Amino acid sequence: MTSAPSVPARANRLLAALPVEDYRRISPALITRPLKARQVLRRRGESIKEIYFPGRSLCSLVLGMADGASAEIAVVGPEGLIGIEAALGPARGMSDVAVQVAGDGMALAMSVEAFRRELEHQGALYAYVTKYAQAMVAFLTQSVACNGLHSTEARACRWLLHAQDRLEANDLAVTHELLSTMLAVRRPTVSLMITDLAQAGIISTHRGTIRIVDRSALERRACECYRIVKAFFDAVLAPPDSAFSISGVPQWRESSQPSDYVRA
Amino acid sequence: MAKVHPTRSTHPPAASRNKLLAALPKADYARISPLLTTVPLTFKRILHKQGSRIDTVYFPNGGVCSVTNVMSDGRMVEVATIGNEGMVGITIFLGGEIAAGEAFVQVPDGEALAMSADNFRRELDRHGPFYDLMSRYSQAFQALIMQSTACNSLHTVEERASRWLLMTHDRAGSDEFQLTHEFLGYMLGVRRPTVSLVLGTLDKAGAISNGMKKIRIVNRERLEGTACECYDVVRRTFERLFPPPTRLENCGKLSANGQLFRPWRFSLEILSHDFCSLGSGPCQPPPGGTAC
Repeated sequence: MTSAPSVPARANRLLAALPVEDYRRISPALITRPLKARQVLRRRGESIKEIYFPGRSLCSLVLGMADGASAEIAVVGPEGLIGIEAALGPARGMSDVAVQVAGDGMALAMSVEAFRRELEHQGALYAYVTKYAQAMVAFLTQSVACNGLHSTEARACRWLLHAQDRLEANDLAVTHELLSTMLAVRRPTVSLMITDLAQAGIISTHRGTIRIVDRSALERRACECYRIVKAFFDAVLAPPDSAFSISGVPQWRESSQPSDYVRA
Repeated sequence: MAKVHPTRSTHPPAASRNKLLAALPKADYARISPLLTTVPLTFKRILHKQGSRIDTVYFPNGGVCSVTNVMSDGRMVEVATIGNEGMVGITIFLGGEIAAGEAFVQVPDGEALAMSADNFRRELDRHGPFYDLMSRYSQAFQALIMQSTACNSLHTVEERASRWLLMTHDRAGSDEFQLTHEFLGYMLGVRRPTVSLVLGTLDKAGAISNGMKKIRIVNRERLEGTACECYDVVRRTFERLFPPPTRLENCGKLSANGQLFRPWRFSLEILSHDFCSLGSGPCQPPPGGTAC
């Protein structure tokens, strides 16, 4: 028997939240994997061999079209994992996954077999993964509507907030080009908008980074989608019976009036 | 239907039209059917209210249901279209309880089979064929919303409207269905005049006939030509996960005892080669069945 492998820092919040015995069970299966900006972790349709638990970083799920256009459909950072598809059934990626901002440049990875063995224990990781899958579906559900309804500025503010939550820093290594790819809008549009936000004192830009100066102003300019989706992600690690345990869906939704389409 | 599913006559007639339930082995369906009640799918009936707890899941026998995401200002976009190929309330499969979107009947046709969320969870806990089907459906559903997320940020209103008309046509069971421009505007998240413009173009192109409060699909190929690739991508995903009965029939997929060939492995590895009609791997007959 060799001695237990050294346990790397648990920068991933799901791993960090695991009870000691659960973490002890899975830690021998964890391998450190470097994350580099613009690294493609996986292509759509490829079989998933490893599940990634990113540290402080920002990864994107991206769907490409036949004409080469592509759009980001979701983001993943230390709050989640890459390869949730493997928990739903097949071990094939449903989207491309790329590292956008490397952050501290590290993920802990686990083979898909070890991941499934752990899920069968139905321990803490199983509970987190289940709730994370729900949060991911909520993220996508919200984004379908957001992409159809909201202004580029509101979507950009939402994206920056999601990015800041995952990178845990005020300075984000986000270029105009990256932002335009993420939002699927042209670069000049992004540059104009960034200038507006900078003039309003909400952000500032310095050589390839965007600094969040006034987060609450950024939240006001973002669409409601940020808040709704964040509540779902916060619920992943919320203890049972807390206010978030059921849904994290804001209360106004419960009492919302019959929607307008009923008249249409 | 009857020639593909020779044993179907023992099922209550209502059941056979929802494809998920129809795909269940006889024994599983026999166990589940007492848990099902029939609910009429009337126009604009709300099945799940956004943000409220899901008590009941629905397996439509026909018609078209929509899941939409409604914003606090009342604006909305359709997130998913569900007909008899699916079920309303897949969130429960993922362990959730709250409807993330509003689910309602968009094209009424007959009824849905309803099941309480508690019974649904109990059936899932068996990890049998029912679980397997719901797992496939949740993958297909996730693929649908992923595609729509990208689609809504990349594609034109004309492409998206054509896609929407094709998806509705697939499920509506007739070439003509009730649709106002205002309603389609809500579904696509665009203003009514934009919808009128786009439908006018599609009408002139001979793809649809754009009537008062009604749409008739005149030429599907044309509509497929104006739709974005998202329509086809999602359709192929569903076909891969749920091979259509005709393909099974052509492949002679009936075992000796007359049951559908169903070599499901009750593991998580269910996607690619379960039916030999999909091209790879030798035919694995079920116990008592014969290879094709």
